[in-house]
Amino acid sequence: MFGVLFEQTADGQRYVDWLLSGLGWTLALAFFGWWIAFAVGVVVGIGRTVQNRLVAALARLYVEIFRNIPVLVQMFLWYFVLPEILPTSLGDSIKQIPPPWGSFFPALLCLGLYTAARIAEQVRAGIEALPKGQTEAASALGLGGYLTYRHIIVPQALRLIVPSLTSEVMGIYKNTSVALTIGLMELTAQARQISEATFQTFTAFGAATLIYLALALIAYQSMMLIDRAVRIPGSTPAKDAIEPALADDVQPGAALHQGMEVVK
Amino acid sequence: MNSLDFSILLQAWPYLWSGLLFSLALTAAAFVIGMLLGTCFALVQHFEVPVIARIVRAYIALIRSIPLILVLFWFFFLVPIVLGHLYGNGRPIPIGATWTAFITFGLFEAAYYSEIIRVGLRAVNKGQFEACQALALSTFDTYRCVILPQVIRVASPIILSQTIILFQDTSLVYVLSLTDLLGAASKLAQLNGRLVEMYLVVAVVYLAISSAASQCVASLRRRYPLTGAHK
Amino acid sequence: MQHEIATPLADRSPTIVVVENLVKRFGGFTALNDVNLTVAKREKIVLCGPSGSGKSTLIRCINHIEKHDGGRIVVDGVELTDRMADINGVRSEVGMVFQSFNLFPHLSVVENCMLAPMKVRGLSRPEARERAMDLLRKVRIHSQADKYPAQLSGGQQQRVAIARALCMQPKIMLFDEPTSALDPEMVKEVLDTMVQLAAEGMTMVCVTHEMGFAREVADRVVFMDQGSIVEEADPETFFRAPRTQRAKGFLNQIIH
Repeated sequence: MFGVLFEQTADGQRYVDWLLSGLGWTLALAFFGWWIAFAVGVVVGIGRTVQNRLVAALARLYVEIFRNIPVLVQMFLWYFVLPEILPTSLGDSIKQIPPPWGSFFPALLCLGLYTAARIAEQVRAGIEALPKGQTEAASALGLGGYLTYRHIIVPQALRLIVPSLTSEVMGIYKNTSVALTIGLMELTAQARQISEATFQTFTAFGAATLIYLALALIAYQSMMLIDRAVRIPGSTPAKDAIEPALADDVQPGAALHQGMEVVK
Repeated sequence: MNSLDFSILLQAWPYLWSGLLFSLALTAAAFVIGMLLGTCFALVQHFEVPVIARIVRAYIALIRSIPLILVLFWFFFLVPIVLGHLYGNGRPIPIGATWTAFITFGLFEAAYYSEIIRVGLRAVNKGQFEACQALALSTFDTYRCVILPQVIRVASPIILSQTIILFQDTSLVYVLSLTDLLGAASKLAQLNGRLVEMYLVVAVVYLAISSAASQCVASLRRRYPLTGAHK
Repeated sequence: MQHEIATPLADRSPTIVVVENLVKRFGGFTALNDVNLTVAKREKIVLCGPSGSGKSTLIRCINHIEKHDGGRIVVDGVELTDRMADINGVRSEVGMVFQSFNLFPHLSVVENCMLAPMKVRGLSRPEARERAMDLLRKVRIHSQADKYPAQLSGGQQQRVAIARALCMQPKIMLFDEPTSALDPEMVKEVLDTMVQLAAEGMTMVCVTHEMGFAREVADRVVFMDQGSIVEEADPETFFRAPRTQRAKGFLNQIIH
């Protein structure tokens, strides 16, 4: 049934090449977007837990804004609105960026910063789930605020939230498809284009679905490996690695029980 | 940079408002269908109903692994075909983008709600089931009067958070060219060229509604902590 | 108050529970091994023994919360088989009180008591409420009727659990370590309620380590160990002169 994918297209390629190029953009968005999200998310998440009121308020504002506007609307804000509200010369030069990149960079920023807000909440929940004694022990040893976070709090919190980050990884690669609305020809867009060119809708969407399933499996497996690799020897594994935030939310008394949200 | 002109809003508002109503209606319908179907899915898995439980599990894993936009495209393509086979002559029955959106979101959200309820069911203390047995309650009454109300209560903050995400996700019907809040704004923007104002307004409306709802969930969570339902 | 132990005069059959050659296994572990026990109407039996001796399993088999693997259980003339009608028939005549109360946290105290009478016995809401209030009064907790379980102390919760079971007007009450999960100062209020129930003639089988209660109330003490009944005697004899070494050892442990 996938035979049609190997037929010639008008531009001399095969349809499967369209799919692969779409996959490339999807992977690039997900991969680089993830590192932006992780870096910003950890900083903002820590920001939410510090004593400094101003920093905490700014971090909270960030999370509120980026989490409560639909990712598609954010996509439009970066792509359509940003160049208009910047000074004209800068805005014009943004609009001059050639086609795939002109969509790719706004999409990358959008997905990175959106996912960062979600990661920040996980990081905060992880930090708040640590026993108070950890901070107390650190200050008893004379570690200051920075050193306590750097060596005691953050390393433990990040290990704790690895299973919950699985759903963020799954979330960001699924959200890459939103970039098709600003013209990036990623996987879903290519599937639709093939379907329109060949009328083989079932084949086109089926192939894309299989690829997304494979990506989900890879994402899930690699997060499991990471979880196993960084887990502190002797600590218990999370019960439900696929959706631990959810499991912990429902099961009272589990390690990370509050403040976690279900994430797509 | 052109100066912003929000006076355009006065004209645009009725159209945006009808778009917002559509978004809310879609959210409500998807919530109802999703919760009903999701509860069934969760119970089917909970009771390990042969064959059906496996099918449901596969469906949920599939839906959770692929982007919602692709699911929308799938249903837009599949629903008329399936309906055609269900009702007679096998020719596809076009039902339009609106119905497709309602069906898709209901079926899509069912996968997410069912996971929440499934985990909630697992978390119910074994003693609750035993107490029901000791009181000779039928299985139906056990679940209807004792188990499910507790699951819904304990899981309600997560269910509500999921519903806020659902509300935001309804903006994706843009790809079906429907006139939800975002769709309305985008159509107006094409007419009047005030794209910056339109998208900013939409962003603010989504932000206001979602954050207000999140605050409600947070205060609910504080008032009814997860351990004892009624402290 | 007529709602407890309404024993019709015509019903002269002396036994209410017969357990014959009962066997229960959990995987490879034999929890009950050929257990025989007969409970007469109005009899009060205290089951005791070390943990893991099978005493809880025995009473959980009597209302089929655990399914037995061999032997026979007859409750009030009905043999427990796999037929759900029989099981629910038996269960509605057998009240059970759990170690961990198992009240329904989302229902108020009085609603906890009303649920099964309405759903199983078909009582109307006002009837169920009236009966519930009567029995809550009896366990002296009617003033808390509209509170939720989590707002009550452990002792209060256990008394509600007793009232909830009594609302089904059971012919026999099973108690599975009803005071083990309680803080020491709350044990007495629950035991007092049980003593009162016994005085009114309720048939009772209690798994408990409260030896004072056993002395005061029990007609018979049944000592179990390793899934078998090792010794049965009236409490006076059992506590003064246990026949077996195992019972002696057990009594030595719990008295200190």
